[in-house]
Amino acid sequence: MWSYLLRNLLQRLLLLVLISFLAHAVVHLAPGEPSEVDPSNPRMKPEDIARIRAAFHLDEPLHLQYLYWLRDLVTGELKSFKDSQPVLPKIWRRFLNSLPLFLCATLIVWSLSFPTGIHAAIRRGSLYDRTTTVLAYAFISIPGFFLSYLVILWVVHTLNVPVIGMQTFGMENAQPFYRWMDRLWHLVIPSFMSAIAGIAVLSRYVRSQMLEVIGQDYIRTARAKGLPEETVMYRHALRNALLPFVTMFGFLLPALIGGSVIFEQIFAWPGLGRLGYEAILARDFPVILTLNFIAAALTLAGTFLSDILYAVVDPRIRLQ
Amino acid sequence: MADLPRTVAPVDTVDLAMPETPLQEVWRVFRKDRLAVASLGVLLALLVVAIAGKVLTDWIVLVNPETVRLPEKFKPPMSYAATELLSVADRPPFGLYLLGTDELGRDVFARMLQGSFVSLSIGFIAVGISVLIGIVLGGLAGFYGEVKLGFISVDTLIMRFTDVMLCFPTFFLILTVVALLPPSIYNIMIVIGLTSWMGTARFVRAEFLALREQDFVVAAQALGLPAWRIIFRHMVPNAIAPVLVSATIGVASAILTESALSFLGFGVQPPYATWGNILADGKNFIFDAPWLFFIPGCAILTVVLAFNLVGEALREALNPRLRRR
Amino acid sequence: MATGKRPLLAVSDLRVSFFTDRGEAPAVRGVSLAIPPGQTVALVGESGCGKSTVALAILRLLSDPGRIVGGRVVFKGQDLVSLPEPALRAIRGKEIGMIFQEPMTSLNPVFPIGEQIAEVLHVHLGLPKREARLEVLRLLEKVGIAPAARRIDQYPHELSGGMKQRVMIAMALACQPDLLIADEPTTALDVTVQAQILELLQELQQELHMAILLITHNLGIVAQFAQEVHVMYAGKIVEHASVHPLFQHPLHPYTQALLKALPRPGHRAERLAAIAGTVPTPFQYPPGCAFAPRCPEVLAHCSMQEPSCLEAAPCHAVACWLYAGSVQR
Repeated sequence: MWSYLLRNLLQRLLLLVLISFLAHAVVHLAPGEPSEVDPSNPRMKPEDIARIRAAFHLDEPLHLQYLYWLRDLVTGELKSFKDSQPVLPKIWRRFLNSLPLFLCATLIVWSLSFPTGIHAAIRRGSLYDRTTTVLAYAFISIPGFFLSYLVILWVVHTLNVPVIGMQTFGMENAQPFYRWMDRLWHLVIPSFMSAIAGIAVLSRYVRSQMLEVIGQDYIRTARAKGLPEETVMYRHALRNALLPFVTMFGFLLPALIGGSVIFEQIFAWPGLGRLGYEAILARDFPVILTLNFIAAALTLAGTFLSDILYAVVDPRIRLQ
Repeated sequence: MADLPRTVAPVDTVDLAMPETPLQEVWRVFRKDRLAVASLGVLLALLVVAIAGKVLTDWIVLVNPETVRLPEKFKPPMSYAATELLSVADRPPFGLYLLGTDELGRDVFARMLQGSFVSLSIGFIAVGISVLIGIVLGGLAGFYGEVKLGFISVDTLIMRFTDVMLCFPTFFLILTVVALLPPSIYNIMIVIGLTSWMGTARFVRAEFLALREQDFVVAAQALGLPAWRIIFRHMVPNAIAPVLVSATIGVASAILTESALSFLGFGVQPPYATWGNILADGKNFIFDAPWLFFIPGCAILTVVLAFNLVGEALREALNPRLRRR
Repeated sequence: MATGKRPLLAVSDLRVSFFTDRGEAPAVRGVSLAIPPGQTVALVGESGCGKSTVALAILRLLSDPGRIVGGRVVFKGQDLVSLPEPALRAIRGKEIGMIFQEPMTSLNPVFPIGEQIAEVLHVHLGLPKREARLEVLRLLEKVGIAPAARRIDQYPHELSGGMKQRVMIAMALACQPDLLIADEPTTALDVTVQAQILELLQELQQELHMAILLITHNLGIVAQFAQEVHVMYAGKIVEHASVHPLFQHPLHPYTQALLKALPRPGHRAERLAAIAGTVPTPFQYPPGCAFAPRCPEVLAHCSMQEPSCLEAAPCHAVACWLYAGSVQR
């Protein structure tokens, strides 16, 4: 088993290097450079551009640029093109901002979609099932920012829930308790809005998984044993239906970066997604590449974790 | 111990199973889902509107989405144009702004009409690209998986590459590439297509691996039929059902991706109108001219919902295990 | 036949239909049978004739499109068809045990087998964990799973098909039921394993004095195992007799054809006779007697009107027009 884990880990490391190189190539081969972001700036002279290009190794061949980037990343020397701040602390600060939003949204998604999906499956064809099905498709099909704006419109008109930013302006000097409550309060709408699509998708998936299991022979056996229906559903069926969801942990982590761009933009939330967006606007290659690298590393770590978890929860699977 | 004859050759008795082609069977199951049938109707109507939009705004310019009429800005839907202020060419059809005008006095109806074609073609072309890549790579991995290229098999090579692609945060990648490339509608289509083929490739491969073991394929190989003939005559038609389902849903998500890109300012650039960029522009006038926001928003919701519902109903109808119900 | 004795289970005029989008499919069309205590009654027929549906309907285990549309299933004086769900649950697994055709998929893959057996003991007898475990060990030994102490914590995938069927038997018999419904208990198993399982069932039957409803398509098993036989065709019982009369003097042309299709030791028949035609589907039964289109002795009358089940000989009932005249009313 240990040799399996080691082999798997090595494979993933190799993949990570491949991914980062590919990302590097995509970013550098595409037209557009940091020096061209503001060509109309009269203070930008050709020699300035040349200096910038030299400073950022933009004139070197691609593979050397990649090695420079890798070296700087490992030594922590990597600096942003935009403001010459070290990249890693910058990302860390934004990560801390994104984390509460991500955790809240994930919690909401998982705690709402499982009961919804399970009940829909058990009462297949009922009014509840049909209603949640249509609602789920509606939420999957609506553009996220359209729905968010509608909710914002409604909320600012009727309820007094804050919709913009992480905290109320001027709250920095308030007592810790109020400051924390204020921050929590600001989390409500953004986390719910970023959770909605997830709830819709996941509850559909839970439903179909549950339906699949309910049709199995061993459910009939459990009924033939005279078990109460609740035991049949929540012990025998649910346990089997939940197995595949362990693998979903793997795809949860990268959503920290990719999935949050739109919502952080809408709610002016200074998190990782917005950092990425700003970096893209500024052609800030080190930040873009490092974010990409972290996202890929998180995905690989997540799938690695879910492989192991799967082997733990499913007796049929043995790592080899 | 002996078994009863379990299967007996039919002799001259009436064939009792109702004669029904697979297509008829799929349609019979599909038809039961009234929402899906309604959605199919919506999509057919959309197709007509999109083609009409292309014809009317591009070839025979009956309604011009680019006409700017500054005195006529922010007219609500169903309001009449002040014909005395406009030249004949600038007047909307019948002097009526069916869906109002925007901040430049452009006819929203004309823009939506033009946008329907553009949005739909983004969806279709992006999905076409992704399906093509998915089938080719998945098929290669599934059919020629054991062929070695040096030290590594075709299957390993392709599936590792698929894994690599799956590790990118897709939307972030699309955003990066679209932002770095010169803004063009074709780039958006291509990028969405290039970043969404992985699912198709995976299940085409799985389907091919399963099909390769099936008797009819083994028989075809034993008969010495050429590989391309086996692949295209025998295997692709069998693997096409799940591809069709995911393509339908793929169109929906491509339209959503385009609108999200538009929201961030990287969508299709003017003068092209898409539903996504009409919506993204409309959000700035949500209080002054709510129709600029609600009309494209509801249009996207309806169409994407229709694609999703049709896709799901197709999945249900094509699933042989559910068919007997 | 159960003359004199009150049957343990009496099914009368049971009707089951599957409601699909292609219309109602009557899979079971008025089946009646009685099972005396301690005896083995076989229900025989080709695949698709509705015999498994009868088994599932007795315990109301039919899944979604299938529904009981008529008839009674009286077990110890209670009608299981109309019994409220909680009362029925008290019978399932406790007084009527059931084993299925597919031991491979009939056990829950995520629980150890011991736990799955203990569940029955816990639900019906209220045994606490420790005692349940001891009882499970005893049961496992009884069904021939050794070493029980090691097997008890294994998962289904670690067991062979025959082992799994033994586990299913242990589970079904844990509460010493009065009736065991065995739905093709050996079909999915190797021939040698089949014999072992049947032997085990026979032993346990003697020990526990239970009745068995044996559902099978295998006439060899029937001859060896059952006292009474019901032959089923297209959702109906076409012939019913004790084993010996049925094998010696089959009356219904369908039963005759089935027996002709059996290889017999000593008789080097040139070919085994196959029955022409196919089993009709519940969507479209032929008019009149459902066997008429395949029947070698078909009368003009046969496809016009359905024959009713008549006692053609003492304790030997048959639903066929050939014998309609010979019966004194």
